[in-house]
Amino acid sequence: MNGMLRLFTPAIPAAVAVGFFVSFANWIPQTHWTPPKKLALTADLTPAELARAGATIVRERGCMACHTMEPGAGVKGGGRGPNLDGIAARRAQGAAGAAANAVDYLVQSLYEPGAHLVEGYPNIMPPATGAPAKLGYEEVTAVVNYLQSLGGTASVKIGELPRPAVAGTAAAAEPATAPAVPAAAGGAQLLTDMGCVACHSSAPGQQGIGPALDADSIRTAAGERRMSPEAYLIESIVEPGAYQREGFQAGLMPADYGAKLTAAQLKSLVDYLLGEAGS
Amino acid sequence: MATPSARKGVRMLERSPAASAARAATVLIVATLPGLAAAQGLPPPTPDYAAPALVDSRLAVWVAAQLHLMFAAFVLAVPMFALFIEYVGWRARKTDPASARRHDWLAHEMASLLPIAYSLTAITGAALGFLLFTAYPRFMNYLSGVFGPTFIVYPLFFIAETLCLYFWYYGWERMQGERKWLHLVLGLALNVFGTVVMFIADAWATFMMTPGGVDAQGQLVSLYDAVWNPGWMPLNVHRLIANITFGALLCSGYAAYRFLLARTRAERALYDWMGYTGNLIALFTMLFLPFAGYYFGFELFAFSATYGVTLMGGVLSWLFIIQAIVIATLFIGAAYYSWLGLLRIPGSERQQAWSSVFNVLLIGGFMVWATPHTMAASLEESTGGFHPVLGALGVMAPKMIAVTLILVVLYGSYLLYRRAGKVITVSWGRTGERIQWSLVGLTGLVITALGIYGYFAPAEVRIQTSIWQIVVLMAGIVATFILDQFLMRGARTVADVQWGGMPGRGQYVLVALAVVIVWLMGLMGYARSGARLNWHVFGIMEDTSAGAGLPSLGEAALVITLITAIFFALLAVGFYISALARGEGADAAELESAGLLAEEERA
Repeated sequence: MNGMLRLFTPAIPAAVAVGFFVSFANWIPQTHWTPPKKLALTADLTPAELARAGATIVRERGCMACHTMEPGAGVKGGGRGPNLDGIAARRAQGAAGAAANAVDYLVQSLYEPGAHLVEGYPNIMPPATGAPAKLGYEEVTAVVNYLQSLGGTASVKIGELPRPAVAGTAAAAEPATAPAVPAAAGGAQLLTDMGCVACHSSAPGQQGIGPALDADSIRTAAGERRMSPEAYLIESIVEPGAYQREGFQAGLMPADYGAKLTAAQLKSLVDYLLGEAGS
Repeated sequence: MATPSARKGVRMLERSPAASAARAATVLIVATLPGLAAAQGLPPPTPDYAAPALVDSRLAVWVAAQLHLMFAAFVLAVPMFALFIEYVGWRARKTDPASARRHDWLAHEMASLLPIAYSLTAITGAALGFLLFTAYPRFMNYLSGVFGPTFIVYPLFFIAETLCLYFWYYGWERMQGERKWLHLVLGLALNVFGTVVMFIADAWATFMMTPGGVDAQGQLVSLYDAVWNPGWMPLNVHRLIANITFGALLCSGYAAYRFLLARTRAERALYDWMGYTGNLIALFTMLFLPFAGYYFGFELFAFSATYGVTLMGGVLSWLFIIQAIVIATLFIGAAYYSWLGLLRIPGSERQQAWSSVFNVLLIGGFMVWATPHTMAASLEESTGGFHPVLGALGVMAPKMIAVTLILVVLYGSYLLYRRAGKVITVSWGRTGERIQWSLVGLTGLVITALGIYGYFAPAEVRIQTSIWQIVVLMAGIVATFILDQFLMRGARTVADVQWGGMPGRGQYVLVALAVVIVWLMGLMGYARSGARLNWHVFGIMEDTSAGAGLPSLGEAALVITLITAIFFALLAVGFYISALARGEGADAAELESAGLLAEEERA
C-alpha cells in the first residue's frame, strides 16, 4: 500500500493541473463545428429567394469571421475586412479602375478578392470559390444577391453572372464549372444547354477549341484510346483530364459535368452523339 | 464523396506510375513495421472511407497519431541532448575525470529510456499506418501518389536510425576510452538520420495543411515543391525545438520519480542533478518555442488568411486561451523549480527574495497572453471585431510584448541563479553588474516600445516589428551573457550546491511539468489538425465522411487527457521493463564516481 502511495502521490499535482485544463475546456461554450451543407439552388429561384439563401451562406461559410455588419459605420467597421452593411449602395458605381457597377464589383470581390483592395485592408481574403468556403457558381450568385440587398435590391438570376476563370489557362473566360441543366433535357438540348457547342462542333472534321464531335472523329479518337466509343465519350465528359488529345489545350473543359449530369442525362447525351455519329 | 476536382486529381494519381511506385513503397514501409502484414495487399481504392475498428475511425486515428507523435518526439529528442551531454563529458575527460564520468552516466541514463520508447514508436506508427490505409483508402492513395519516392526513402532512413540507435546504446560500454570518438560519431549519425525521418514525415503532414507542388485539381506538378511546401520548414523548426523541450521534461519527470524512490543520499544527489539538467535544457529551448510557433503561424497565415481567422479569431480561438493557460503553467512551473533550486545553495537568500517578484511579472505577462481577440465559439459566432470587453488588448502587439518580456524575466532569473553561492571578485564587478542589469532593463524597454509602435502600424509593419522584438531580445541575452562570463570569471564559491537537497515539492513540480508538456502536445496536435476544418488536404481534397467536423473543446480535452494517460501508462511499463533489464538503481561505483557529494557525506 505504501509503495502504491509513493508511486501515485507525486502525480497528484499533475492530476490537479490536467483536471483544471479539462474543467476549463468544458466550462467554455461548447460547439460542435460541422461542415456547412450545400444548398440546392435551382435556376428557377427568384433573386429575393437567392438573397435569403445568400444570407445563410454568408453566415455559415465564415465570411463574418472577418467582415462585419455595422449599420452606419461606412466601409470601415471594426473587423479585419470591410463592413458589409450598405455595400450595394456604396458600390453602386463599382470602384475606380475596377468594376463599373455593384454586381461586377461584388463578383470580382468574390472571384478575385485581391484584384481591388479597399484602402486600409490587407490582401487576406481567399477566393470564395476556393477553400474554405468553396462556393459553387449558384452559391456565388446567391451571395451576390444577398450583398445587393444590403443597401440595394437583389436582381441577379442563376446563369446571368460570369463564371470563375479556370486556373492556369490562357482562356480565362472559359467556364470552370458546367452549367446547371434541366433534368428532362434530351441529348440535343443538353449539348446546347451545357455549352458544349461553344467549344465543340458536330460538323464533320471541324475542330473548334475542343475536338470535333462528328462520327469519324469520335471513332478515331476512341480507337487511339483503345476504348469503345461509348466508354470514351463517358470518360471524356466525366473526367476530361484523363486523356489529353494532342493539339488541344489541357484544362479548358469543365471537370464537373460528372457531378452535374444525372446518369440518365449522360446516357441521353452519349446516345445522341453516337446516334449522330452513326447517322 | 470527394469534390469533383479532387476526385479527378486523385484518379489521375491512382493511375500514374508514381502511384504504383508509392503503393509498392507503402508495402515496403509496412513490411518494416510489425503488425501490418494484413495491409500489404492493399484493397483497390473504391471506397472513400471505411470503418476498420470497433470504435469511431476518426477517434482511433486521432489517438494513434498523437501517441505515435509523442513517442517519436521522445526518441528524436533524447539522443540530441544525451549526445551533447556525452560530448561535454568527453571533453572534460582529462581536466575533470569525475565530471566526465558523471556526464557520461547522465547521458547513458537518459539513453537507457530509448530502446523501449523506440519500440513503442514503431508499434504506434504501425497502428497509425494500418488505421489510415484501412479507414481512409482514397486519401492515402492520393498521398501515396504525390509522395511516392519519399515513401521509398523513408524506411531506409528509418532502418538506418534504428541500427544507429541500437549500436549507440548497446555499444556504450564497449566504445569507451580510445573508441569514445566512434561512439560520438555513431550518436551524431543517429541524430542526423532521426532528423531526416522527422523531416520526411513533416512533409506529409504539412502538405495536408499548405499543399504545394500540385495544381488546382490536386495533380502532382513538382515533388520538390510538395515536400518543401510553405509549412514544411516552419514545422521542422518548431518540432525540433519542441521535441527537445518535450524529451527534456520527460527525462526530468523520470529523474524526479527516481529521486523520490531513492534509498540513499547519493542516489538522490544523482537524480536531483539529472532533474535539474533536464529542466535547464527545457527552459533554454522554451525561450525559442514561442517564436518558432509564431514563425509557423505566420507561414500558415501567408498561405491562407483563413488559418489565422480559424485559429485566433474563429472556431479554435478558445483553444488558444487554453493553450496560453497550459503554457503559463509550464513556464511558471519550470521557473518555480529553478527558484526552489536556490534552496540547495546555502547563502542564496538575496536571490530567493526576487522569486515572488518574478512570479508576479510572469503571471501578469500570461494574463495578457491569454487575452482573447474574439470570444467566438464557432465561425458563425465570429463578429470580426475585437473582444467586446477587452477591446484591442487581445491583438498581436500587446501579446508579443507580453511573451517577449516573459522571456526577459526568465532570463533575469537565470542570471540571479548563477550568482547564488558565489561572490564576484573582479575589480569592476559592481560597475559590470550595473551595466548588465541596465542592459536587461533596456532590452525590456525597447521590446515594449517596438510593440507599442507596432500596435499603431499596419499589419505588415506590425509583423516586422515583432521580428525586431526577437532580434532585440536575442541581442540583449547575448550581450549580457558574454558580459556575465567575464563578471563571473574567478568568482569565489562560498557555498557548494548541495545536490540531493531539493525539497520533495520540487520533484512533484517536475512530474507535473512532464504531464503538462504531454497534454500540451496533444492540444497542439489537435489544433494543427483541426485548423484544416473539413479538408484532408486544404483546398484540394475535402473530408466528406460522415463524421467530418470538429468536436467541442470539452470533448477534445477529454480525448487529449485519455491520450496522455495511455502515453504515460505505456511509458511507465516501458521504463519498468527497462529498469528490470538494467538492474535496480544506479550501482554504487557509478554513484561514487559521480563526484556530486562531498567526501564527508559519502563517508
